[in-house]
Amino acid sequence: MISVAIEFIGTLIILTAFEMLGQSYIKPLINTMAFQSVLLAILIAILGFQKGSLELIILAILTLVVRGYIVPHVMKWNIRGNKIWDYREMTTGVPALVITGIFLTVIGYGLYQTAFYPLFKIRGGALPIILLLLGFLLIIARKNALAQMVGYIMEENALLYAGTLLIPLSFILEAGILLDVIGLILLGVILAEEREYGILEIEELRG
Amino acid sequence: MIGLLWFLVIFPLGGVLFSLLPYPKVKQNSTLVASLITTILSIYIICKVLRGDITDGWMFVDIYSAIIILLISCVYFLSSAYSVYFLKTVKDTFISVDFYYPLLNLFALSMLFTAVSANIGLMWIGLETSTVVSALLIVLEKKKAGAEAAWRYAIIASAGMGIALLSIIIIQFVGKTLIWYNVKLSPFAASVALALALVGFGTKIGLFPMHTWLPDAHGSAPPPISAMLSATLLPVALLTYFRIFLIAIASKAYHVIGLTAFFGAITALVASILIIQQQNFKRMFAYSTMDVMGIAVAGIAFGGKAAEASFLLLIVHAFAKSGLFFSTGNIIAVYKTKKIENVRGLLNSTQLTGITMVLGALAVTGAPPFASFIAELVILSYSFKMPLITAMLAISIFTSFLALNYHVAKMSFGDAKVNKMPVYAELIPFLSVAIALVFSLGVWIYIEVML
Repeated sequence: MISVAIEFIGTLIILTAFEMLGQSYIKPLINTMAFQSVLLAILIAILGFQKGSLELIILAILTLVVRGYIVPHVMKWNIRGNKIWDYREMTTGVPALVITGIFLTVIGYGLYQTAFYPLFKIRGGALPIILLLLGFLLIIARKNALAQMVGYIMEENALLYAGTLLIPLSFILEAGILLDVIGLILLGVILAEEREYGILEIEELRG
Repeated sequence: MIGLLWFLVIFPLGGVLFSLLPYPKVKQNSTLVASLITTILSIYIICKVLRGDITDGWMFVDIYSAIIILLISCVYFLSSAYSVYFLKTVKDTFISVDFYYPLLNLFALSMLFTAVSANIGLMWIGLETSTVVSALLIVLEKKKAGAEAAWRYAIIASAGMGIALLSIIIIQFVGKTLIWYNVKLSPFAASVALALALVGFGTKIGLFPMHTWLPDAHGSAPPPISAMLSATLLPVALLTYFRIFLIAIASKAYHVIGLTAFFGAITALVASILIIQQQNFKRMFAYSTMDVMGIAVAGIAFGGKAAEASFLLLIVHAFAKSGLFFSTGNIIAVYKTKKIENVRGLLNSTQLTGITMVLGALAVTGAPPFASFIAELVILSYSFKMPLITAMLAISIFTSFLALNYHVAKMSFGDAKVNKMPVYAELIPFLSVAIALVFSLGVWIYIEVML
């Protein structure tokens, strides 16, 4: 029963990733990221109760607070009152992006089955690998730094998901905390940079 | 009783704490003192390691990590010394200059922490921390290009480190430990872990095609930070990859040799070709770093003397490249440009900087009498059993030698009417390249005596 719940939540997480890929408006994108993080926190908490691991429960609370509340809250606070964020960021290419996402899902599943499953023998282990690839896709496909930050959080979620599912040790707790801290610092930097230089879009630095 | 290795972390940590005090002189002097003491300690440690490896709890130092620790410490000290001059030339900053020294100390601390760790998980934590700290240092100067470069670096390097974490998860799951010398994996698990590490840590090393952050970050960072990125951060990432490579070899996954050698050689080849078309001298030196790292990665793949040669190459490169990056700070201060075509007559105008540039360029491209020549020769000779790799390495060594020295020669010769530099500003880069030269002469004498 618990394993079914874990796989169900995992599937929901992947669906939120697809919703984020197709989302052209920044506010709903941030909201979906927050929802995805909450789902991940629930998943980690279930795993924590199942394994009787206090560390995992702490990690779940941390994920809920930092990624589910603080990061989205700070992002939304930053864009408040700025009309530019009410417009679509990406007006073309949504279908292509979603199709690429589906393609990556197949690749991620194949990758897990051939390279990872023989080692881990865990059903549903393909989901974090797929989520990781979708996170990379979001980072690559989006031009503005806030959307890329959302991609980075998705990637972090994937790593935490993979870690909690596959390795029962405190290292993942340390890594999870570090990833959160790094996420917050990066967020702070881009928000400060955007205030200084306007919306930050990665331009090709020549040569 | 605190062991010797703890002090490699304690002194930079002291530097971080003291440089947080709100007194500019204290910030500067505490960083200088912390880096100098760390350098002296690292020299003592390398002498001790020659008699045997040192282990202390989660820390382990063998000759390879001792070399990297020495490089970090020395470049940390040289960068701190050059920063005294550099900060006087900075007018407008994005991050308050009060945070410069604490971040510089923290950057060195994160790298020393990585190099001294026996646990690959801790090494990953150290490297990930270094990404954030160095990204903050890159945006010090108030420039949009710097901000974009820092963001690109942070996002690409963090993505790479994410993949590296997957590699560590596999090692932990299958090997049941993260202490690298105790890990035993099946050949299949080792292959998967190494492939992920190659992509993950390879991003941080600057391997092709994950290198795109490297020229932007090195090209936009303040010169002392460019020096630390190029001379120490990339070798630290290489050391981490080297540990996982050794796990793979110990696990009998021998085909990783070809994979690693290929990625090293293709990186060197691509970088050497990119050097030709560079117009910005800082980006040119960044590609030169990528070239050297590629050759070094190929060297560690071949093992034995070739792996030792890789670390020899890293030593010469670290001092010479630091000198070159410090010199770029001097050139920018005097010529107010980063464009190669706008800089002429360095040997006439800022003579010591000109000499540093010429010697430094020769050193990083493996010209005799620098020990990098011996190192590249050894790596090349070990590659003969893989003719494709030999061809790629030979072309890259030849191309980068011609291209880099041609650009530097153009900058160094000719007439120029520019202001003089303070001697102090020219002395630190020169000292850095002089260390590379003296060390190289020492290597030649050692070879002469031994043979």
